[in-house]
Amino acid sequence: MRALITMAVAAQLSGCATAWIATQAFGTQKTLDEGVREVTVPVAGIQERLAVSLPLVVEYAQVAAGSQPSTTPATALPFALSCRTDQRAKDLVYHSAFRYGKRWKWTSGLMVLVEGALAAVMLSSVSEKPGYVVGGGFLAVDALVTTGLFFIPRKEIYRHDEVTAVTPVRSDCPEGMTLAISGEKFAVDASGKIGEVGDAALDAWMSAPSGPLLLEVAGQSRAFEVGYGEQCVWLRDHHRDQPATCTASVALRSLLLSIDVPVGALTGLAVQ
Amino acid sequence: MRRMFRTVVIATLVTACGGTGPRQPQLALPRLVTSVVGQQWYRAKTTCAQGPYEIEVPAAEARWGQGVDLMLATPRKVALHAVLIVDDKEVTSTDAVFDASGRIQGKPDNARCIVDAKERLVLRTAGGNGSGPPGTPAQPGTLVVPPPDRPAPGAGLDLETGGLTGTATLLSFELPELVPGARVPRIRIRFWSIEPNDLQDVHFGVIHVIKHPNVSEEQYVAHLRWKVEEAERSRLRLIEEQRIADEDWRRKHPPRANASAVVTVHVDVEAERAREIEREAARVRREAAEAERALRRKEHCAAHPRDTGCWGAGGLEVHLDLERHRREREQYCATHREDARCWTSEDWSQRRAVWDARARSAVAPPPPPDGPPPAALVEVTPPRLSVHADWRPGYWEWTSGRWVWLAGMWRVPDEDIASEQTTTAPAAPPPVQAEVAPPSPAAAVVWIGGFWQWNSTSWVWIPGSYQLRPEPRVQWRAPEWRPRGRVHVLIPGGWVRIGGGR
Repeated sequence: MRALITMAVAAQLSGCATAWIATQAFGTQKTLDEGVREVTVPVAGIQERLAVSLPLVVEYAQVAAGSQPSTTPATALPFALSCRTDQRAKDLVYHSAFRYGKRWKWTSGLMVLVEGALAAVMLSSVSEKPGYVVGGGFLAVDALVTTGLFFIPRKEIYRHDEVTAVTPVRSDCPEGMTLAISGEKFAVDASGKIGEVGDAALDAWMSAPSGPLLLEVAGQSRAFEVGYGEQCVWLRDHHRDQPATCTASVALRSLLLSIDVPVGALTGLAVQ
Repeated sequence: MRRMFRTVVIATLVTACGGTGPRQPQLALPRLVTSVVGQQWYRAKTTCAQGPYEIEVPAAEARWGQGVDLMLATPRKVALHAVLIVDDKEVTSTDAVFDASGRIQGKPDNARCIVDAKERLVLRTAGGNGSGPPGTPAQPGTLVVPPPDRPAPGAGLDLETGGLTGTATLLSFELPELVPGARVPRIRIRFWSIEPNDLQDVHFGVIHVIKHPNVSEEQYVAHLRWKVEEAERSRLRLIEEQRIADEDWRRKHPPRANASAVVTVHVDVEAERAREIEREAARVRREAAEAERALRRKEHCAAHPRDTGCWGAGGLEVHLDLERHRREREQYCATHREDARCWTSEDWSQRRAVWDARARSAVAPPPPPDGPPPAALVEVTPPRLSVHADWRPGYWEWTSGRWVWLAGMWRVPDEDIASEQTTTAPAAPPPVQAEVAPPSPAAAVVWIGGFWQWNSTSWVWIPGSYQLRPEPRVQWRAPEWRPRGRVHVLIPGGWVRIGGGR
């Protein structure tokens, strides 16, 4: 991995031809485009999705960077779900540009001169260190290839691609969202809190689950999948003062859930 | 000579020893002193109460000013919000927890007046069946009544006789002096608490004082006049001293002669006008040339559809195609306002304003009440449910930004249940009545269903109500009647810990 990164960095920082080869190899030729014009046409068919995360471990208030180390324990934050609403759809992107135009000619021409001059200096140096010879040789070859690239004819590009468009819309928990714990519904406020009573009910549910842990919003509902491991993570982290009664080798630190809702249900202007 | 010397010595001794004659009476400095003109003490009619209480102070025609103090004699901590109102205008207020020593930190000692995990059985409020205060529905626990302007007649105080000691001043206010002939202001003190206070042996006192001079009014007025004149003399003296000091400074620091600078500006109006005309002509020429160039370029581009300088990569064909797609996008967005990709910055800011406000209100502390709670609803305490049960009267709870009435409840000790010293009935109760819980007045309250109660002669249905959960980790367990031989014993409902236990 390290070697791969080194090679990539070297390719970008070294000669012009090497960089060009790297763009071809990694499929990033778009970076060479000049005179770019793009028109994005939305494709009909949107999905509105609410992603909710239920933390299983206690979260603590962030300590300001650079502050003195404190002996007082960090403040535990109250339990809160985190929500993210986005819209997913497809876009048709019409891309018009040309490659190897005036900017390319100027850049490659300048690089040929610079690399050629450097190669000449290094190879004609009195010091015959192997590093100088290798470096000089590399730059000479790169300058030679760049000379060839200088003469690539100008190419016009006009194409269209269908791409996935994800538009993050809001990061608060939407209105009307509830978390049903053992059949009792607890309103989730904009900051994701379910209140002290809800916290207590959730803690009791984690100790002895009864019924699904059901999230309801905009007429849709979905249950969090809570396994033994997740319960164990919750109980161990929320009851540190008590001896652990379970072991969880592999478990998540938070539960994730996505609900598709009717378009506009959570993002419409009438929603308050 | 000797005689004269002796006279001088005697006179000196007499003077030094203070003389033998009577001392001259020392004149008192004219000033205002206060006299108590009224002092009354009150006690609340009910042990647990929130108020609001109101006491009207009979204002006096006090030329030199008057003051009102609200006093408190209490054996325990009470929380109070008190305001002093003069002619319907609030002039001062206080909001704190007090004990006999005055304002203190901490919470009031009102455990027996507020909801508690040991409470059992929900009881209806009297005034049900529509006979409650105007605007209050019959269902208890669901009432959200706007605070009234004036305290209701029932929420009163009883006048106490006899002085009290160990008092603290809650509120102190001085009214400015009245202009002779002016209308006497109406002074009222209103006080209440957000939670009910335990007001057993708590007394509220109002002390009314007026100010008057310690000398005759004429002498005091003359004294005030002299003080004004003295102040004026002092002011003039200061001005004179300042003037002398200024003159002295000017004498010591004569002003230097400044060389006056003369700037002559010659303005050739005609030349300036000619230059302006020339500049304007140059601008017109430049604009005409630019327009000509633009026209020529337009003609050139129209004649050269492949010119990428004019049309970009792909020439006119691609340019037109991109324009067509741009229109496609506009058409799509015109018909899909729900698509976030089409929202303008105004659309985004409108939505974010709403969502951000909601998020802010979620993290903001709940708003305090902006006035006293409504007058307490009249409750009829139902028969005691067990031998040692205590009654916690109903009260207004400020929750989620509104007042919610929490009906009174019996606190039945566990020992009474264990020893079956609760209500007994000769037979099993009728089936439980179906109730439809009204909409919850606040998120923090929980619906407690109704139940049958035996009143020694017949069954009485006690309707359900909303109650505040005393602790997050408790839930309500419904009451039940259990057969014991030939009778049925009431096992009162109560708050039980989630996961078991009380």
